[in-house]
Amino acid sequence: MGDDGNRQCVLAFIRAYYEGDAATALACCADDFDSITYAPVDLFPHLGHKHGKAWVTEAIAIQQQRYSSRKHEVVFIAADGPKIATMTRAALTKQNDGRVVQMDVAEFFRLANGRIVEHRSFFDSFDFVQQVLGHDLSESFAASVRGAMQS
Amino acid sequence: MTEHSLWRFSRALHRAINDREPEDLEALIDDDVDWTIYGPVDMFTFLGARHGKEAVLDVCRKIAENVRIHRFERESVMLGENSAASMMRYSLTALNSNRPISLRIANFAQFKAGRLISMRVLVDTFDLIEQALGSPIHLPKIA
Repeated sequence: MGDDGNRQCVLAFIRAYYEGDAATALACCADDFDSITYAPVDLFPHLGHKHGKAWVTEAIAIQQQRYSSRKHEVVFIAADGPKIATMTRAALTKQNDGRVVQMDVAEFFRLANGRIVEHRSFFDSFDFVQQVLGHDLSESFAASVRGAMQS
Repeated sequence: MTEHSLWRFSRALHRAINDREPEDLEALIDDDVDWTIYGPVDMFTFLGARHGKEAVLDVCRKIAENVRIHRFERESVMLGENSAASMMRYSLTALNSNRPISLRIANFAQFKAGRLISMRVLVDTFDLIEQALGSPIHLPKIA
């Protein structure tokens, strides 16, 4: 599959992920799919390092349980042969209180034979935790962090 | 073959941070650059959104005052005609506390005529804060 096919595969995966279409998302992934989302796994046990396609179904199900609406926009995409990087802006409406949480997600994909074999992901995890909890945590830690960092 | 703008920019950025010599970097940043490193600005003054060359150079000065880069590794790089995305792993030292910090960074850059016009940087900020604090943050499970 050429560069454009790889790009379309990744865009289809991201769209299916946020639309809750597990079958389409799975169809974009190779059997030995490997994913790492760099985020606090103590707080988000379904993130971190996951191997195998089953995670895709699980992650989509968790998103559907937690968020009634999941909108997204891919704001940046770079493709280089079998490697694709995207930055996606997501807006998720929480099921329990209707609040909208937003985040920008960086994702790096590697494809083989037109399917995603490797997925790496980042987001501003501290901000996301604050949004999900609905309160500012930074006051609790700001002075300590500033003391440790600033010269 | 012309060298991609990312490589020139990357060298100049590291020189600006580690050697505190921003001259090369200055020449590679567009006057109207749009720059964001996502994260808590009340903890790390060099995070957040900036617009314009002077503001970005000021951020780089602040980074240089706060950390030293010991090692970096490009884990994944994608080069477009005027754009680039990379996933980097950095080993840093927080200069004030001498505390080591290891983090992965996602960069999304756009260039015009060889100059940086847009930069977006994402980090696992929760991990960054825990490393800066030197201890874990204990919160209830969310999902």
